[in-house]
Amino acid sequence: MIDKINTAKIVACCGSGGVGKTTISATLGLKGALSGKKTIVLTIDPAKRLADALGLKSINFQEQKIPDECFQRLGVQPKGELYAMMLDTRHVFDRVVTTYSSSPEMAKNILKNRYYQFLSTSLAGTHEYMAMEKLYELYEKNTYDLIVLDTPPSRRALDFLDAPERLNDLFGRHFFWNLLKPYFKAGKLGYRMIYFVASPMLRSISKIFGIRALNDLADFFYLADDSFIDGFRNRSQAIKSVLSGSQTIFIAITSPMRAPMLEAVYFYDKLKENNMPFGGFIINRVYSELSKLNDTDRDAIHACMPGEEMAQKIIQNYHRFERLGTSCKQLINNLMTVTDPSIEIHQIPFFDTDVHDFEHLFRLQSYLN
Amino acid sequence: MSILEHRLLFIVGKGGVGKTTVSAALGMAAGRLNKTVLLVEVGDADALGQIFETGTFPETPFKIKSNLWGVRINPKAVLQEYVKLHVNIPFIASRIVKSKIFDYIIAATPGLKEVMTLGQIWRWEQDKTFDKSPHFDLIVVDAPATGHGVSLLILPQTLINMLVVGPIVEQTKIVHQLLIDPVKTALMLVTLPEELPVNESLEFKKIAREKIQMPVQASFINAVYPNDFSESDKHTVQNIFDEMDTQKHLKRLKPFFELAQSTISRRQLQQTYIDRIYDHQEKKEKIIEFPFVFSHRLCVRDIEPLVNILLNYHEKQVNIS
Repeated sequence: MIDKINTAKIVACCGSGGVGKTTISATLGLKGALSGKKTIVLTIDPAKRLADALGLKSINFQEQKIPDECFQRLGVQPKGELYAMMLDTRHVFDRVVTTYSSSPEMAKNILKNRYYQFLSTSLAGTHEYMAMEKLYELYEKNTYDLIVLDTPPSRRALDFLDAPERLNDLFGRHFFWNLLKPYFKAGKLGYRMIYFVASPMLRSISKIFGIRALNDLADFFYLADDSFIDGFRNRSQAIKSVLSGSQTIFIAITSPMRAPMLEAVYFYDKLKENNMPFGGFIINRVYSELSKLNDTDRDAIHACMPGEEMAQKIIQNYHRFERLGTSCKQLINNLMTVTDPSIEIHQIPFFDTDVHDFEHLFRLQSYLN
Repeated sequence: MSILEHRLLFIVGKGGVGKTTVSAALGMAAGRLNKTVLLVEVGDADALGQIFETGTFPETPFKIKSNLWGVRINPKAVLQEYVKLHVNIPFIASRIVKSKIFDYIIAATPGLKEVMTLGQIWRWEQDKTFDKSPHFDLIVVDAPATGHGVSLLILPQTLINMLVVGPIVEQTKIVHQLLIDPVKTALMLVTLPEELPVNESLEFKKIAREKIQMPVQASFINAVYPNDFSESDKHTVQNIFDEMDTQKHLKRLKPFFELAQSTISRRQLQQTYIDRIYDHQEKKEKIIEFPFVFSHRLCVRDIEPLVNILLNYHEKQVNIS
């Protein structure tokens, strides 16, 4: 996996929520910087998790360098540099609109549109799409050797891959235009509603949704159709080809629990199906398998402990983690049986301490060799 | 008021903290109290189905066992029903739900799925569904992980702002009344005794209070390590551990003591986070600790101890009031 990461320009970290995606992304970024690459870690998480993980007090929407002191404190001198950046969905979306609109006035009208305001912040998939947009922009600029993307939190790892398709569908559905354009095109901005009454179906829909909302929607698509939709469509094609190219790898991150594991496997299958480059699995917080406690050990523990009760506690504690280690092992074995033998599976052990500062990241990266 | 006496529970929290486990435990506990319970999954989730080994829940309530029911809400199907209900001419209604525009509107309208989901939950609460389901004493919603599960509660308000008027807005307002009724509805937050989850749960409580007017009524601290070792135990373990290097016959026992020490230090670390959660406890907020489940393949048997904790907690609360 590390070989693949070393030759890649984009590493996308995917996985369901709570598996440690942000931490692993930061770790891979750190690894890149240590190996001499100018690396940036890109996150969309509004919850400042990456900042926490990188030991930064805050992280803003600018490209921000991790100060040398962070490395010096650990006694290492990175051969490359490490940057981090948080993504503001609305900001990126606004930029897309401005870039692809045919005139500044058109851009202004779109940005002002009420539907756009909702779309740009609340529509499912927008975060994911804009993360890719930013990723593409950074990639095109070519100022970084490596871009690590921490994908937005979701229950499903796959949401990230599906999102651009979904948005593209939304903007590119020709039947929508064929069907509605006659009603939309007529009339001035803000007065399109009158024309809805011409279709019984639209009339019924507008009764449910309210005419104002449909009107905002109509305005938005009218404006967008004349300006940035083509740019948008071309762009998402370009993004797709970068993501499926050899410069990119996808990493599936999971914890050794049933649900995220199933999700990771599903993600892997989907990548394979679409011929997307897969870099391997990282299983985070793995409890190691313990050897069985035998009678001799049991007796020896009893012998060296001051009391019966205390010995029992030690044994019980061991049994619990033995059980846990076994269940981890089983899940990982299952993963191995359903994936190709050439697929790498990295395990990061469960630590006694929380991983949430730079020093711990450093410790973590040593497990990814 | 006991946590099991509400009608409707929303279980929220960031991904991976154990929302589904807590939802299942709450449902099973209420079931023991002879309540008829509905466990709700949203969207294409099948996490509850994994625990109960039923496979993905169907779209109409089905009996998991005795008085425990499960369902999965498919917002699109709900919207189809909704359109049929609101468009007087059946021919037009069926044309709408079959049309591409309909798909399009679902995809293009932020918050529509959430509104439909909440509307459906509201209908079960009001016994207004037509699916022949029984009266549910308690409805437990395992919220989707996106944005803490808060999007389910917050996006409908966004949609109201966008639509301004119309039947969907009216429905959302009625549903909102149910959500902000602290006797009927309770928001329950699940977290882990770790740095980032605790930080985020504290942020979340503020959002819940200020943005959705649903203060968190109970916080679950999930996966708390057992506190088996007393202060003096810790010293004993340490002392024996120190001796090990010098005494040859003890050396091979080292892993057992290392593990005990690791448990002790993990537990101590967890305690600092648990304390932080109590430090930020709100006036009416209940805090319940759930022990770590020593298995990674959660099943009903693993959840049993959690159910007992809830039942004990419930009994105490009932006795107090």
